[in-house]
Amino acid sequence: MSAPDHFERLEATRIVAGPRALDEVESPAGGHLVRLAPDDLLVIPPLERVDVADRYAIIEPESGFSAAWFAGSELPRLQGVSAWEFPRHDPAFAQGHLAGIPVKMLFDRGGVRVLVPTVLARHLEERLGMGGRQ
Amino acid sequence: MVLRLDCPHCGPRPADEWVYGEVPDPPDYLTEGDERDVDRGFMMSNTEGVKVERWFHAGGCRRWQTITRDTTIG
Repeated sequence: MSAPDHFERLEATRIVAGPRALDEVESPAGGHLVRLAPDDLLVIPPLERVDVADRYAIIEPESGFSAAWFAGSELPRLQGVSAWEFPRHDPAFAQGHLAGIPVKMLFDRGGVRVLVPTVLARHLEERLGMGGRQ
Repeated sequence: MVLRLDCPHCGPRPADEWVYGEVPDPPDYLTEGDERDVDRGFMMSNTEGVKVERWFHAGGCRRWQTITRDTTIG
């Protein structure tokens, strides 16, 4: 199925630390390192243990995002409700407004995983015409 | 035409993802407290030409950026 019904809560680890320390964090097997900002990293899936070379690093479980996978055939429709250009290659990460709602987008394997703050997930489902929860 | 601001982390993004953050700086000749408050609250500088501004990228990296903008073209 190319279009998901709804967003599902995402479990991750959030690390806020100096940029150099974040550069050295290793990606979990089959996971993603999502650099939200130079000093802000989201690790998916969550790490059980992480070493960060910054004594002031903040490392917390992050459960504030929900995610859904859209196949490549859905990309033109998503691009149509975005005022900025999606990356033309993958894997790639981008963030910005989608249908007026702030999202994080992980482009991979021809499709995209969309992360949205859980508090806004229902709104994005409605704006994208997704089936919604039963 | 959509005003776009170039975020050093996220790339060019439309202005509606951003929150403007001018730091109010009342002129020195205003010395009375109420006058300075009114100036700080309502009298934006509205510069014509190149201006250095602070913008918060609320829809992306959620960081403050210092951006140079030419107000005569966008």
